[in-house]
Amino acid sequence: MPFILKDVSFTYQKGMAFAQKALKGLDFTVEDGEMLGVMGAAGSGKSTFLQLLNALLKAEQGYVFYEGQDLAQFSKKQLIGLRQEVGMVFQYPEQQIFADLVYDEIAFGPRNIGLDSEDADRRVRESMQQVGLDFAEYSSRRTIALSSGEKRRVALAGILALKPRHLLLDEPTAGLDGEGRRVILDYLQHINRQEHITVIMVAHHLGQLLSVCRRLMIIEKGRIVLDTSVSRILDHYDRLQELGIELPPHLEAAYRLQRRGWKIDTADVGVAAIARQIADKIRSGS
Amino acid sequence: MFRNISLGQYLPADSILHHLDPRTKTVAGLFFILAVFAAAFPLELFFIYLAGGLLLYLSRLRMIDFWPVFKPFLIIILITVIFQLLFIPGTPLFSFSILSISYEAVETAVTFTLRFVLLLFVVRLLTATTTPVALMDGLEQMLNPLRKLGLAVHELIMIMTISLRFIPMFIEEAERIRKAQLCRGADFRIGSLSSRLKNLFAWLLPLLRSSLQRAEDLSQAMEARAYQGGEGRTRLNILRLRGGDYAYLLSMAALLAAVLLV
Repeated sequence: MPFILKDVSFTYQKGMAFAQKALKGLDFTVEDGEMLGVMGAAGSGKSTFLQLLNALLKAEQGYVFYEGQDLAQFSKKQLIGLRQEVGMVFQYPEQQIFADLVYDEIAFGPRNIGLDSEDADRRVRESMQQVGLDFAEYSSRRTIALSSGEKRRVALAGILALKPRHLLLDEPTAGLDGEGRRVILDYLQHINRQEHITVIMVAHHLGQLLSVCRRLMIIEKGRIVLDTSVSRILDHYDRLQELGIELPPHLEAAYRLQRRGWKIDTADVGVAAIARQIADKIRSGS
Repeated sequence: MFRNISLGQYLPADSILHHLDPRTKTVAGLFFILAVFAAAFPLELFFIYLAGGLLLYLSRLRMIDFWPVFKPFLIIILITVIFQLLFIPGTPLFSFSILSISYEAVETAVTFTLRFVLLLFVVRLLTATTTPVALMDGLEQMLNPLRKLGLAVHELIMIMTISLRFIPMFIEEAERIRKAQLCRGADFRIGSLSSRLKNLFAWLLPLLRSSLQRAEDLSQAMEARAYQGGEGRTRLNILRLRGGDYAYLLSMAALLAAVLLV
C-alpha cells in the first residue's frame, strides 16, 4: 500500500486573518497500481490533497504514510528520492517548460538525478515513446513551436523520464481539445494497465474520470464525501444528485432503465459497453 | 519561502477606520509618522502610544494581525539595538570588563525600538484598513494637480494598482513553478553553483514568460473594454470627505502640533 492517510488536515495561511481550512480529517488508503480519480468543485481541496502525497505540503494534523513510512520524518535526501518515485504533474504543466529544445526539456529531470548522458538519453527516448511523440520527429523541435497538446505531452514525458512508480496529476486534460484529451487519457490508462504505475488524477469532469479510472473519490469542502469503485457508481446515484453532480448521459440512461427492471451490467461503464447492452435488449425485444 | 505574504494584505472589518476616505488615512498617517519621529522619550512617546492604542481599538483589528509584519524586522531591530548599546558613549550605566553600556545608549536603543515598532504599526494599519485600489484611488486624486505639469498621474497610478493587484498571483505562480521543478529533481538550495544556477533558470524563465503573457492578455482585455487612459474617464466610486474624515485628520494634525510645540 503506497499511500495511507490518517486523519489528515491542512490549513492555508495558518494563524492569519485569511486562514483557510483546505482539508479536514482525511482517512483513506491507495493501493499499488490503482487508478483513482478525484473530483470536486474548485477550492474543495483536491490539489492540496495531491501535494500532500509527495510532501510538497506537510500535513498539519494527522499522518501521511508512504510505503509504511511517515512522510513527516523524511530527510531532504529522502524527499528527493520520494519525488522521483511519486511523480507529480501540475495543472497546465506546459507552463513550466523552459528549455529551447524538446530533448533538453525532457532530459532536465534525468540529468538532475545524476544520470550520465547515455542513461539520460535512453530515458528521453523511452518517455517520448510512452507519450506518443516520435523521437526522430520531435526531439530537436523547438518547444515554443509546439501545439498546446504537444507541449503537454512533452511536459508529461519530462516527469515520466524520472520513472515514477506512482503518478499524481492535477487536471491533466484542462484546456485541451477533444483529441488532446483523448490522447492523454488513453495514455494514462495505458501506463496504469500495462506498466502498473499507480495513477491518481484530479479532474472536474466526471465523464472523463469514469472513462479511465477504477475508483472514484469526491471531495467537498475538504472532506471525502464519496469513495467508490467506478463499477458501482450507479449505487450512489442519489448521493451524486445530492452533490449536484450529473452522470454522463449513457449512465443516466442505464440508471433509468435499471429502475424499470432492465438488467444492465455496469462493470464496464464505457459508452460502448452500455450502448451494446441496451441495443441487444431492444433487439431481443425484452 | 513565500509564506509571508501578509505584509500589505487588506484585512476586511466593519470599523470606523475602514470607512474613512483613503486620502484622509494617507495624510493622517503621514502626520502620525512625523509625530513619531518628533516625539521625545519618554513622555511624548508614551502619549503617541496611547494614540496608537486608540487607533488599534478603532480599527477593530487584533494585535496578532500585526505580528506577521513585525516578525521579519525583529532581526534588524535586534542588530541595531546591540550596536547602539555597544557603541554609543556616555555616562556608564553598567560595565563588565571591556564591555561598557552607557545610559545614553540605553535611552537611544529604547527610543529607536519604540519608534520603529510604531512606524511599522502605522503603515500596517493603513494597508490593513484600506484596500490597495482605494489607496491608489486616493493617491491619484491627491496627485491630480500634478497633471498640469505634464505628469501622467492616472497612468502611473494604474500601473501601480495593477502591480499591487498581481503580486499575490505572481507569488502563487512562482511557488507553483518552483514546486513543479522540484518534482523534476531540481533543488534550488543544494548542489554546485552551476547546477543551482541552471535550476534557477528553469524557475525564472517560465515565470517571466507567464508574466509577460499575463501582461499581454491584460492589456488586450483592457483595450477590449475601451480603456484608453485617464482622459475623460469617469469614476464609479467618487471619493468624498465626510465629518469623520475631518475629525480624524484634525486630531492627527493636533497630535503632530502638540508634539512639535510642547
